[in-house]
Amino acid sequence: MRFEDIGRGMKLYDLSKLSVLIVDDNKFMRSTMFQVLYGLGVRNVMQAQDPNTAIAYVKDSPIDIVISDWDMGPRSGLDLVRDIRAAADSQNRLVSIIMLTGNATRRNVTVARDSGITEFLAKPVSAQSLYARIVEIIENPRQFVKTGDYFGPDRRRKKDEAYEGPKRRSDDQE
Amino acid sequence: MAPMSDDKPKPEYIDNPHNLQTKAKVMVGRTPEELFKLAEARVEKLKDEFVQILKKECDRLLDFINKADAGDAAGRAAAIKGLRRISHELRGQGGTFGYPLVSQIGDSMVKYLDANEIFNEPELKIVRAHIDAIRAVSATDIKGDGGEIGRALLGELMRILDKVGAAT
Repeated sequence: MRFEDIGRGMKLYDLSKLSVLIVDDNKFMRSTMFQVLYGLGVRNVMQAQDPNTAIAYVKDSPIDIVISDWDMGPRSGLDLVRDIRAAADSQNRLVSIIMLTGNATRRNVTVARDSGITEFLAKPVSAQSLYARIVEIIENPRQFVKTGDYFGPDRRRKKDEAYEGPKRRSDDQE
Repeated sequence: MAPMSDDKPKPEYIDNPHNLQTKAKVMVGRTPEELFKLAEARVEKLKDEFVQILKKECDRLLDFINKADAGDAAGRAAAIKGLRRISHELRGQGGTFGYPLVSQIGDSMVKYLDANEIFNEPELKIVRAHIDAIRAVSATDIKGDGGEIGRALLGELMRILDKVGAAT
């Protein structure tokens, strides 16, 4: 898919009722993300400069989507994801989380997915690429799954009804 | 395929209570392109600020690489940390503001910094080549892919990295 085709063919959603929390230690990046979200129609945008501030928002405020940078110091976006998913007392333990990173390697995508993120978004961000992730969250909400070492959105996005090969997951055996 | 062991804990599924379809309604007959234009117009207003930030960060990159060249091991390590931080931020921002070359060069620089543990003169020369390329983009305001100049800049960087077997 060409960059300019991202977002093409998608429906237009009214995002004005969504609440979004931006977490980034870079003030200019927070401003940029705010402007992109506002342009896309999101009207309730909160901002946090670090995971500790963010987790306080997440515990106390109704938030629909957290958009967090990965590479923040000393605590990273991954630490925030783990804190959110582990906070049993939080109303937002199952909140959707978009992880932003400039280092979108296959390995990092896997690490982020296994920490419990909902979507992964490579920097630099465009209005199209961010909107595409938000639409994915709206149109394809996933169940959460708890296993011995994982709590987060079901990492299987869609069941492939045509798949006829061996089924290896423990719940496939039922 | 052997059956899976029975002692493996069964996954527990939880329905997601945050169904955003109840909050975000489709606006029939309209396309998201109009939102993209609004968002891009708002980002465009930040472009001048980005250009100023880029200039300042170029100065800081130069300052750090000079310190790395001149410093002892501790000073060099601190300078490398500063260089990584700036190049990481620039790679994440450049493309958003119409400077994809800044993102590409920044990305190459971060990967080079991450791939090396020891920075002596040869490694610092390669880091400096990245900084020179970013400074050239900033000084001559090279937008987009930069055409021939952009290709030449990236080509020269790739040639230097190839030479040491570190092309990203």
